[in-house]
Amino acid sequence: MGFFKQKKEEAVQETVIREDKVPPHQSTTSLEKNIAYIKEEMRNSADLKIRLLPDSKQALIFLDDITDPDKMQRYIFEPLLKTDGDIRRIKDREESNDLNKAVAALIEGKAVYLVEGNATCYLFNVQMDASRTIMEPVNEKVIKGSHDGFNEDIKTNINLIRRRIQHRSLTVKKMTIGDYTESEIAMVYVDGVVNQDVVKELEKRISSINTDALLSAGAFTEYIEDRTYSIFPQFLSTERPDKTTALLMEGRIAILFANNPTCLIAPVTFFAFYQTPDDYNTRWIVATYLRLIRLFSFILSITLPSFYIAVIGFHYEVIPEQLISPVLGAIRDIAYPPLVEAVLMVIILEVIREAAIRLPSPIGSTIGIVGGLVIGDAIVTAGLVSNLMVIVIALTSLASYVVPSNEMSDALRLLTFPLCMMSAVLGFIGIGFGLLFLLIHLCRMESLGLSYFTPIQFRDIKDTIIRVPQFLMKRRPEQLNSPRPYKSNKLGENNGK
Amino acid sequence: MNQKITLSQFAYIYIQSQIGVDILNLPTVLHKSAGADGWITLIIGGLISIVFVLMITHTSKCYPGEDLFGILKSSLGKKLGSLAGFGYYVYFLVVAIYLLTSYGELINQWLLPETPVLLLYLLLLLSALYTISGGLTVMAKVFTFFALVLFFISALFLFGFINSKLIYLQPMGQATISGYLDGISVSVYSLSSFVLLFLFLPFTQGSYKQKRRVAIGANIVVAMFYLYTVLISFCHFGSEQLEHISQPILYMLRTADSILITRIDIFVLCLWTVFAMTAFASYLYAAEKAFAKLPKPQKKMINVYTTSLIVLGVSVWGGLNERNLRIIIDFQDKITEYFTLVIPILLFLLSFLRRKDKQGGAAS
Repeated sequence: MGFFKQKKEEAVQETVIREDKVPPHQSTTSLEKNIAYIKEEMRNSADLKIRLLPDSKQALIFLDDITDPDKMQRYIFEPLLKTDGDIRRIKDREESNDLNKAVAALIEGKAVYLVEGNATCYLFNVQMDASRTIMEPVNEKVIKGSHDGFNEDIKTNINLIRRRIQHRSLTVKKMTIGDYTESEIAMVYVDGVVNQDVVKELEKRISSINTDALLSAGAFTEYIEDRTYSIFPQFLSTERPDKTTALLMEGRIAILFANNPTCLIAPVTFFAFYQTPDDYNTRWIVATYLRLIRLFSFILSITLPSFYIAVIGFHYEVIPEQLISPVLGAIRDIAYPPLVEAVLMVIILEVIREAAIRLPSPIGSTIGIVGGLVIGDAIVTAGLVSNLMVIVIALTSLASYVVPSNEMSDALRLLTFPLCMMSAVLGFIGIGFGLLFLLIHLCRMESLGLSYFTPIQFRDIKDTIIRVPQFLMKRRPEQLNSPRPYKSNKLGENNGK
Repeated sequence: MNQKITLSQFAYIYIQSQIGVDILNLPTVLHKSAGADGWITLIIGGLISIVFVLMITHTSKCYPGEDLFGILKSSLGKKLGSLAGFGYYVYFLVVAIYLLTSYGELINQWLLPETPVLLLYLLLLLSALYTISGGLTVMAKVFTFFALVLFFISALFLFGFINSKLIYLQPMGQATISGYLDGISVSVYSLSSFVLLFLFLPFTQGSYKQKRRVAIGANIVVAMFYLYTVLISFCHFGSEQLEHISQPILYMLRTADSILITRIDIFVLCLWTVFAMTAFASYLYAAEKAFAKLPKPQKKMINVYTTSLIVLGVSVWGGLNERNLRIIIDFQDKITEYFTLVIPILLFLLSFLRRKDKQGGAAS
């Protein structure tokens, strides 16, 4: 029965070979042929410059836009003058007989020097540096503490970490991902503190990535995270070197990306998203208080609208007597059921937020006023939404922004919807089941094979829900199963018996 | 899946699978059988349950690495063992059905009279399935986390002390012998989840002595929690009122007022969902394990679904009317004795004859 079976044409495509794995192509002694080959391989690109030196016996080939003319002057031409044009006497060069390697070097920003009658290509590193200065990350500001941040240059970023951990056991492993982009990533960890099984697991997962282009850190996590279908982030992303250092010293692994200031940390727990470097710079009592506030706002941000819906829809009797008449007065003339009110308000707020992000910052603040004050006020007077609901939603979204991590706050705001639905159907029991599912889901989650949510030991509470003084935090987090469980040599000696 | 749970996780699993919906009724039931002496029978029942815990841990030690069904086969022989295994499958199913229906009834009665019970059944079943589908380690994590609810609820019960009178516990020793026996059997049955120890013990890390200590500790925690609830409701209401109230704890919290919110009973009921879920999940897990050990082994996921479909189907049938519910409860009462008391004692006695740990086998 071939009638309905449409023959699908299988798309065929050529295999792309990564630059570092291209088979060698022997260079010839003819300068002309060599240049022709390189030109062809580079697809006659406009920025490929070929500078023939006097009497056309020698040529310097480079990509105009990624090489530094200053460096070329200093490393090639000045030494050439000194050695009377004999390239072989210049130090600081690489040699190769492979033209494909020369092409790869060109792409990296090196200059290729060819001589007639000589099959050797001489490579000089004259790459142009293009990077931002070190600045404080805009979305991770702290009050006290260091004000530097990662930038797009992976070398600068590793430099920032190495300056903070001056020990030979700080290990950097570099890999490249993407057959076209060849994006460089670096795994950084402290050997002896990190659990080697986790390192192996991460390496295994990274090496299994197979793609043409690795474009962002977010895409990277989707290739290797434990649960892609979960709403919760499983990698902590930060642009702060001090935070990265602290997490490295707990025995976690940092992943740095070339051309991306984001640094991903794994394995992490849920509570890591609620910690900021500020916690360790203020008094511990204050830090504990702030942590509790954040935890409270976590609960608030996911349950408050659904709680309100359940109270209005199902359980009037929960409201204390004195409050009943004001509540009744607020909702009496509202046309919509509370669920519609809530969803409407949440979406309006989200629209305002999106608009404020995309607009340039001088206009962005106006949006806040227009959105928040004008619409908020008008929507109540128009009778679309009760003013109680405005309070509830405003509080909810405020609470969701308390989370130091941006991804987590997004996840929380999205979680409001299912809980609102559940509470609109079943009241408090619905919220109960919603939270039950949520918590079971969190308990089931893993980060690089280690548990994500439940503190395995009671003592892990010391640096998650609250923060105790430093001298009481003797151990590294139990989750990581670090080979160096104590935070100092002395403690290890005393307790090792 | 092969990972073992830690001792503390074991304790929490045991505690959470003991505490179900039944405790809410426990004070009334105890009062019915032993009058004001109900709490004394609970203490005696608690002590007896500790004896059972000791017997079960000992039996489990004698057959290292084997769970309930392995032990049954080793001590009763292959045919009789399989039959007993099937019996346990039915027993676990019936208990799971009972837990599900009683939860549905409770919520229908107190919070959502109009909502179809099927919805509640489905939600509880789904959350339990979600928990147990991750295996014992995930169950352990979930149960450990939800132990928080126990502390929270215990704290909320303190409201009951506001209007309580210790005089209600007097006079002691008024009940008849048969009343005492009745009360003791009720208490032992309310702690009857010790059978599940057979399933958890072999998958726990630690030595025999540690496991025994933790199991007894956990059992005492549960018994103390029961005693706490029973004492509070006895002190709060007194004999005359208790006769007419089926869930005294909830009535007690209903009248307690706080400044922030009124009607604490609603919140407690919602929190109770956690206990209902954990106890139900334990029995569902046990039934699933039993099903997997039945002669025709099949794929694991199919087992979970068949078992839960049976549970759901029978529960819906039971929820139809009072008479069906009665049949389920009567059936459960009939078989509980054999599966929680008789067979464990039998296994304990047989373990002296057929123990495997000292026969020189390389079992581990």
